[in-house]
Amino acid sequence: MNIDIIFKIAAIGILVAVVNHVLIRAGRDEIAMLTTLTGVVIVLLMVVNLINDLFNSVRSIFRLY
Amino acid sequence: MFLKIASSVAIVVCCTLLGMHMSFRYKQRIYNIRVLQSILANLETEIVYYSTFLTQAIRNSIRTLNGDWKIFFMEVADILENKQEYSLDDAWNKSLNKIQKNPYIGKAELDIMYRFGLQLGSSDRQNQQKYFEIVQEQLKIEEENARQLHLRYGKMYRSLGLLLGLGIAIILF
Repeated sequence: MNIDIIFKIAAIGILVAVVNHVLIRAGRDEIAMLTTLTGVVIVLLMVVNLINDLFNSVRSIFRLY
Repeated sequence: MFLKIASSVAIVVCCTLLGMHMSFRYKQRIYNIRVLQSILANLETEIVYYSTFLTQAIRNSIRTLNGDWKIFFMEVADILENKQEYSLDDAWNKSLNKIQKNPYIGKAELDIMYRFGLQLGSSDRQNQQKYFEIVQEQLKIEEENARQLHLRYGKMYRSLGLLLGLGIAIILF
């Protein structure tokens, strides 16, 4: 299990939070919203394979074929 | 590993510089408006009190100043002196078109100067003085606008550049 991806996601989360804050302070709320969404999508793209693995493992453990 | 770190640093530095450049645009615009105000004040003196010829008046009023508007006024004086165009309107518009794409000059100033060019030299002294006063007032409002934009977005672009660079570096790492 690769632990790096957790740190990566944490770093992206912190960055998105800071960008969000900066943009809201500058009065660009809609772009701040867009940034948050982009962050969520990027993180989802990173973890989608892992989620797939998780479901496959659950299926094979409980024999749900 | 070394290559990875080096390229990440390069990305962060480039994005930071880009952000600083974007924020510098706002600062430079304020400077340009101020220079334009001094140029016009000089020009007003030359026209209303000394009654110099326009090309000479323009050259006299930009002599000690810098900035992007100096280029515009030099262009106008050159065009008129070399007789590429014969009317002030044409020379003025030609030079305005040339500096239209300058990132350090706002659209509002261009508009003000365009309208001012139509009135320059079209009436007697008192009227000219009035036009100069109107333009100075409009420019003062634009300067205030530019200052507020700088306060609002200058800081934002600087921090956004750095953060965007960090984001790209982290995603690609």
